Amino acid sequence: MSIKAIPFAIIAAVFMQASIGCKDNNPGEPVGAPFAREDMLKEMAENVIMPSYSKLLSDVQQLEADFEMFKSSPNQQEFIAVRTSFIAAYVSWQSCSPFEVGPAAEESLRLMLNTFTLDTSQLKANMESGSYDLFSAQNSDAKGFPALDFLLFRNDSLEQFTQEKALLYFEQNLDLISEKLNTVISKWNDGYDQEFASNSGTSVGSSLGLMVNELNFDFELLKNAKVAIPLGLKTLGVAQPELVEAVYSDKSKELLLANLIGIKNLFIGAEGQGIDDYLDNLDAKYGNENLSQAIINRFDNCETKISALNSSLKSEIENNPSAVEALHTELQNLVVLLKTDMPSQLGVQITYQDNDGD
Amino acid sequence: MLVSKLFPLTCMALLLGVSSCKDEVQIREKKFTVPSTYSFDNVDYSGQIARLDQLDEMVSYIETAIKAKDQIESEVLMEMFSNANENGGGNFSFSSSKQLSDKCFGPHVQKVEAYFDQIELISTSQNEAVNGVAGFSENTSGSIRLYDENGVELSEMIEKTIMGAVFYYQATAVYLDNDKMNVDNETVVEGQGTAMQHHWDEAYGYLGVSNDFPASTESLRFWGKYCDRRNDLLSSNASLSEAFRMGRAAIDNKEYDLRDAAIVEVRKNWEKGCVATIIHYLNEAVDNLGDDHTRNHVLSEAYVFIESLFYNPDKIISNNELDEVLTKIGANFYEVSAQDLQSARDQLSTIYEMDNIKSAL
Repeated sequence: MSIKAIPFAIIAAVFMQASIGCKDNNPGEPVGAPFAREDMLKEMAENVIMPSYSKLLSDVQQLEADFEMFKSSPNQQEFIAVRTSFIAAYVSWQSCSPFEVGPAAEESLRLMLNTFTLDTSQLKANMESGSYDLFSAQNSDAKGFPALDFLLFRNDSLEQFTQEKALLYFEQNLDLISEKLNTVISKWNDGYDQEFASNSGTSVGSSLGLMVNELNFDFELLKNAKVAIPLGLKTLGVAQPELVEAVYSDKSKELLLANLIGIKNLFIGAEGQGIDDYLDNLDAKYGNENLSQAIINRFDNCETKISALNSSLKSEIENNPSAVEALHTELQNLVVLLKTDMPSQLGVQITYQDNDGD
Repeated sequence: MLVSKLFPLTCMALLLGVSSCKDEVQIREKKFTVPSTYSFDNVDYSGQIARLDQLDEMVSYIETAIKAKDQIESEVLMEMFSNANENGGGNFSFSSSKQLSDKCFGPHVQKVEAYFDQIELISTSQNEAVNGVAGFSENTSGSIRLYDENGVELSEMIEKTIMGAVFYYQATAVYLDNDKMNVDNETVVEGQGTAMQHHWDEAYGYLGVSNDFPASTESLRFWGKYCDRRNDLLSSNASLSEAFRMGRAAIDNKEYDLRDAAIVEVRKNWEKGCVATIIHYLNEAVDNLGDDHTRNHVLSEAYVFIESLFYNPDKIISNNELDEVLTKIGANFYEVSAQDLQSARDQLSTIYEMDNIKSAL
């Protein structure tokens, strides 16, 4: 029973940190080759974070251009172009989702852009009244990519999309995405990049600390919100396939895969140095193999399981749940390494808590 | 007296329960004492009290309307269920940030909301309730009830489905489950304890009993009330309260094996109380078979409590058996037979090993 085992793991992790702290003032520092965490952070920003934001920005700009085209000639062809560029942007968002640190955290980017499940009755009430504040609490689940997904892919969507109220709601949500993204990118370019690299300790609030926490948080969102909940694992086995991400476009599988690859990419630092290199430098082991390799292997196992699903996650949950359960098992295998082994080796504390209030 | 007699036995049972998983039986010395009431430090379940209060006022709204044969508005119930504007759209006598709907077992939210629409619809008719016709039923002693065309009492379905899908589900399947138990037990928040203690107390809060329970059985609510009603035959007050106190004391003393054993006991004893309540109502239905007014009421209670068994993650009954029992009762409460009701009761009493008390319940 994991409920018994995990508190001990946590206690063990605390002890490990404590003991490392006692024998050496510089907890993560390896005995052999020195490792410059600052360089790793710099490379992660240059090779992973900024390119991901840039890709998303250009995809959002393409979506804006296609939307303008549609407004001037609202026909099927232009509609398909809007849909296509929307999917591209939504896929690109998935690799930005894991690094909710610094500017993205300040702007609550993840919450603003991709809170699902969409509250369609709130969205419809907003559209109907024409008077709403997308930043208000009641609209927290009536905006961003899920709102665009609904407007573009609901039943009779072309006909409904051409209505003024729908166009307006779409445009305002697109503006919200674009504004938030531009703000985040500007902040990175205006000094946060320096701050990120120089905040190179491992304590709570350090860049590595934040990154490891957010990587885990995003991975747990993937595991729980995108897989376990629709599969019914949080509801006594009663599946809720309609709760998958992007339920209207039915692109949840593609988004899930992009999200997983995005998280893995952050871990390996793309072409440059990443957390995996740091773990190797610390000589972190998992059994007989390197912990970094064990993590990569499990990422690959998850990827294999996602790829094995047919194109619709929703229909797989309905008709072939064992394949999705197999995926969930692999996700669980990975979360143990990411959330327990990796942080303890890095000397980083997991500080976030799932708390949905009383 | 009953409490003090049972306490060491239950405690021993818990300890043996833990040890029996291992190869050799270890008799562990009890390292802490379990208080006789829920008198721990930093207990706060105000969020649960707020939800109990909300359901209270929903039930009161429905019952007042039925007594006066007034129309019930689905919109009002919706606002109360989702606590619109933090005061149930002005229908609650108090404000709170808590909601029933967002704690309701997700897949069944729509079912509850459909009941709201349905009760509004049938409350508008001034028909007399008979087989095939929804309407009001009034007996000679002046009791007025509202039944749908199959004799289902929607006020009961609403109240008890929320008791099941919110209170029972949250307590047994959410707060006592891994995600809520595998949390910090070091940092004490003044007034609320550690995260783990707080989650445990929140589960306790859904039982609807005071901290003095079971010494005091004053002001029992919802599940607490039903637990107490079966106490004579089940000693359910002692066993359920004991399990909760054992778990909290185990958490306070970081004895997680004992906490886990207490989780099993809470789930098991809460479920037993629910089953005994079902058997009681099925007996009542058989005893009042020819009385539409009473039979429909007690069958509605029995039916919705059977449905509630589902929400316990460690439930003993299987989903198939659950369906079988419901099928035996059938969808039309005017057309039930004593044999079918007894068969439903017997299936439950066999599964739950209550054959010895099934007639007395």
